[in-house]
Amino acid sequence: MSGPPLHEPDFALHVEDLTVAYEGKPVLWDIDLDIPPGVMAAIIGPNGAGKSTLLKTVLGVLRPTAGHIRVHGAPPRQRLRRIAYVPQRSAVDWDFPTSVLDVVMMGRYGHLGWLRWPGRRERERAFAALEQVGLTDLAGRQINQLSGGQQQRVFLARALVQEADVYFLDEPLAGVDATTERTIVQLLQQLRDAGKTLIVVHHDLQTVRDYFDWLVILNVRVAAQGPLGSVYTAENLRRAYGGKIALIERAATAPDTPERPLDGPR
Amino acid sequence: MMAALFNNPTLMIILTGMLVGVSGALLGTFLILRRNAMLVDAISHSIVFGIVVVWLITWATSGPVQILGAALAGLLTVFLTELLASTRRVRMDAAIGLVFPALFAAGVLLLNIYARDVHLDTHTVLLGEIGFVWLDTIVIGGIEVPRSVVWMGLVTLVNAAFVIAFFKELKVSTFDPGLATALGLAPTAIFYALLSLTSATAVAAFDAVGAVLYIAFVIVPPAAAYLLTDRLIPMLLIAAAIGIVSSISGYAAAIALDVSIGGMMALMTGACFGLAFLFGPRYGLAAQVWRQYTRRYADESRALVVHLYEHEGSPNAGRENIVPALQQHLDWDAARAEQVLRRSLRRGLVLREGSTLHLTRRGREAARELLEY
Repeated sequence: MSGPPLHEPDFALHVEDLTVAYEGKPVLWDIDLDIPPGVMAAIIGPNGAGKSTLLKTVLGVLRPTAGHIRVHGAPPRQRLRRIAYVPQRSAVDWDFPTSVLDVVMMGRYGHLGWLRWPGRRERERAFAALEQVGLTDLAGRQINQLSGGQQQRVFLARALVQEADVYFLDEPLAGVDATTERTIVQLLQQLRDAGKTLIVVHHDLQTVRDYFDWLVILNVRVAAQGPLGSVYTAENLRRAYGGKIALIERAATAPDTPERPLDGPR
Repeated sequence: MMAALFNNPTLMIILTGMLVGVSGALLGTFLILRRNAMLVDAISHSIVFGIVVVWLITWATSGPVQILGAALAGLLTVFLTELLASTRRVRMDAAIGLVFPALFAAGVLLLNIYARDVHLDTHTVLLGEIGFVWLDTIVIGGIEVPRSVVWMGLVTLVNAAFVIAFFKELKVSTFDPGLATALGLAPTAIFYALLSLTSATAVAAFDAVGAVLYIAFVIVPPAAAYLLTDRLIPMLLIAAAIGIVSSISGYAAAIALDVSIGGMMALMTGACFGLAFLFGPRYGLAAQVWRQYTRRYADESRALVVHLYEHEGSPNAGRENIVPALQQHLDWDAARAEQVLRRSLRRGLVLREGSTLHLTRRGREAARELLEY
């Protein structure tokens, strides 16, 4: 690939001095962020911390006020084919007249390029992805007949057919049942084990330690980032969330309790 | 032969209506799904401003310059609307309501001042003159063809080509603009292209149906189609078909009643919508009521089956699995208990022996299925 030299090519995601103002008020202030390839990274932080804003900016949906972003060394616009995106479920109109298979095929549109219609190859890939998420039975179903967990798996299947290297997921585990959560997490871990990078906006502090190996704590600025073990500390969490999380704090200050340090009700 | 066809006023009027319907349906489908129906209203009014300005400059009342000018006026509307909304002092719907009446009023005032005696008058602006489209012809290949048919035909072809060529881009931009951006498919550009064509089509349709009736042709058929199907391509086809049917039936009704042809065609799109709303197979009112009705009855039968299953073979089966228990334990009044029992017997779920009730094998399976699920 020709063009300008790569900048920080050793990171799957490199964000430097990024400020994003959303409708007039800054949501992210001067963020510096690096995520190496091959990790499953969680981005956590309180409501309004700018987690979704960060994702949308990386994907070009929002424009930054300042700073730059690199995905595998190049601006995201030049890396579109290597990036997959799973938006929040609420981002789309589920009454849209289309089928499950069709939504999954949308993941191939980028590879198809302008003007070309999807064909048998795209259909087959979409079916394969539906099989991975366990939804082949629902391929022909109208999308407004899906449960929340099924919707999320459809989105995941759509990201799978993008065959990307870096996956951005916005709260993929929000409001799904335990079975779906397990399916999704297993799939994501398989992707990571295959060398892909997963960057997940996550809301549930209880499960962060179970699922992820890299952590970014965000609250308008980056409170902490790095390998999960060294970042998931009471002090860091308190810095981002304030003093409101006594329970988390207690669990996090005893990080070496064997097996499940944060036993949620499961 | 061809000349005879194009000389037939009835045929030309209906054909014009059909072309407006088809071209409108192709764009309206996406506008409805984007929830931008009101933008069509805004555009079709404010292009009056574009048409008048272009006419004042070039003295052309139709043709490519007019279409371009009006398309720009349509885009100006959308641009001003979004500009106003982006100040966050005015909401989007209010911004639409502020911008298009201003442009429309400016257009009407210019007409009043400069064009009192010209074919552009305020009545035509609103309703068009589809009844006279066959009078204004241009010669193509030695055949006289109504001007409206030529322009509407061209615009319909352009719209169809746009929708076919950019079908997947339109679909993903409408369904999930965030993904479209992430895939590099420029949803904003697609949106503005869609709106430009909406404006251009409005100008071409202007002579025939006017600004207000055009809205009916863009919005109503897709809205009806939305109630009739769960897929995008059928929605486009059904919407186009409704446009065609409305043109034919609207013409016939207008002649029979001796009223405005354009008005009747628009009314027919409304009638189609009414039919879809009432009798659509899945989302129609009748289907919904019927579903609720049958579901209630099915649930009652299920409740009975589960009740019998729970007490089957238990010591108190003699008290529970008898006909009076329907009233005493399940708390149904006599008439309802009677109905539920009769339906359950008819469906082969339950057997009756005197006043004792037994489950059939089918009834037992049904209960088991319900309880295990």
